Amino acid sequence: MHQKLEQEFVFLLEENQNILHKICKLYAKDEETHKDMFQEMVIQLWHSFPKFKGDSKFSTWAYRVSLNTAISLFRTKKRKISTVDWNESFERLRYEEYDMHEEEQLKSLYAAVRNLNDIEKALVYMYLEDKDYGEIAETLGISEVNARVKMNRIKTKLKVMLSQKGEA
Amino acid sequence: MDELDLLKKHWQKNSDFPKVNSEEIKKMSHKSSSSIVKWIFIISLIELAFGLSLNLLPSPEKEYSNFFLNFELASLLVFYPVVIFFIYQFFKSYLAIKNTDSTKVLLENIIRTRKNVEAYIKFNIYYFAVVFFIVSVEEISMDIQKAKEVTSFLVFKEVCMFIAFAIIAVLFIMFAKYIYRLIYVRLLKKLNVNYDELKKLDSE
Repeated sequence: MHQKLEQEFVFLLEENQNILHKICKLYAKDEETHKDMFQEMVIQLWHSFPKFKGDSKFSTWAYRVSLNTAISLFRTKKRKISTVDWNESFERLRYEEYDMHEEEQLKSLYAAVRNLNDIEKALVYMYLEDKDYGEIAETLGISEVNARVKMNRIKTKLKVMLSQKGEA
Repeated sequence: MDELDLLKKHWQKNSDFPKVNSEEIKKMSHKSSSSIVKWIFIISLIELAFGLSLNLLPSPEKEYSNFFLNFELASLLVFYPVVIFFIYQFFKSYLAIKNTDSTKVLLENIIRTRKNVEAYIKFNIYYFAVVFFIVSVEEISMDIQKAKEVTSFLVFKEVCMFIAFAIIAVLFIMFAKYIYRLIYVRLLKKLNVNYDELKKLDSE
């Protein structure tokens, strides 16, 4: 039973792992933190998986737990913790080179989003993932109206950040 | 087109991420969590045990007054039920922490768990302050009773001793408080900042 559950979990997570990577990309400041955060997300998801009843899509459940991990549970380590060694494919992910081939504007946008606070990043993540305001509000535990208002403020904040960078 | 929509277009087609294979995912899921909640849980258990162990320290075998013996019994009758209540509250709020809740509820539950232990520590400090005061008064009165002659020097000596003990106790509490803040301010900073941000959002 346990083995079957584990197989199912591993299969679903392997398919949906980009959800975790995308959240790490917004919250982690470097490659090491990305790895640690990803691992903590996997642990949190696995702990909760027996209670995942399939009422929602796996992806919806996974992004919720992963966002909560990034915002509330993950502790940035000062020293190296024992992280499972990843395959060499991680070499492809170099933070400083993230958007090397992208336009300047995109680079600046990613940089600006990474400068937002944890809650703002969560709103941006869900906005980028095309979640509706009802879902955004429910995930964060705020009202839908406030989610909308905050999202508009974030857009303005990003505009200001980008224009300041442009002037500098 | 606004900036975020440009980012959205890029975001949704962005798949340039490393591929973690099933074997690695399996290994990761068996790793031990190093989350803030786990740290809070471990530190809280140590604190709960520390509070309890302080009260188990053997008291010197002396002939205490009836008032003191009654006080000791009464204080234990208050101490243990209160401690059991705190431990019950702690586990209740700890078990309520679910990573599938909304972010706000999750943060509330973590902070509540922590506040329970803080209240427990405060209770311990006040409890031991009262016990310290009563024990000191008892010791002083015993010394005075035992003395053949009550001189002003004896009274002065006893008062000085009381003040010295009080200063040591205050210094100890201040030091404990400093260490405490050092650990918790760092551990809880992120949680408090994020919770305040969510609260601010809903109060506007």
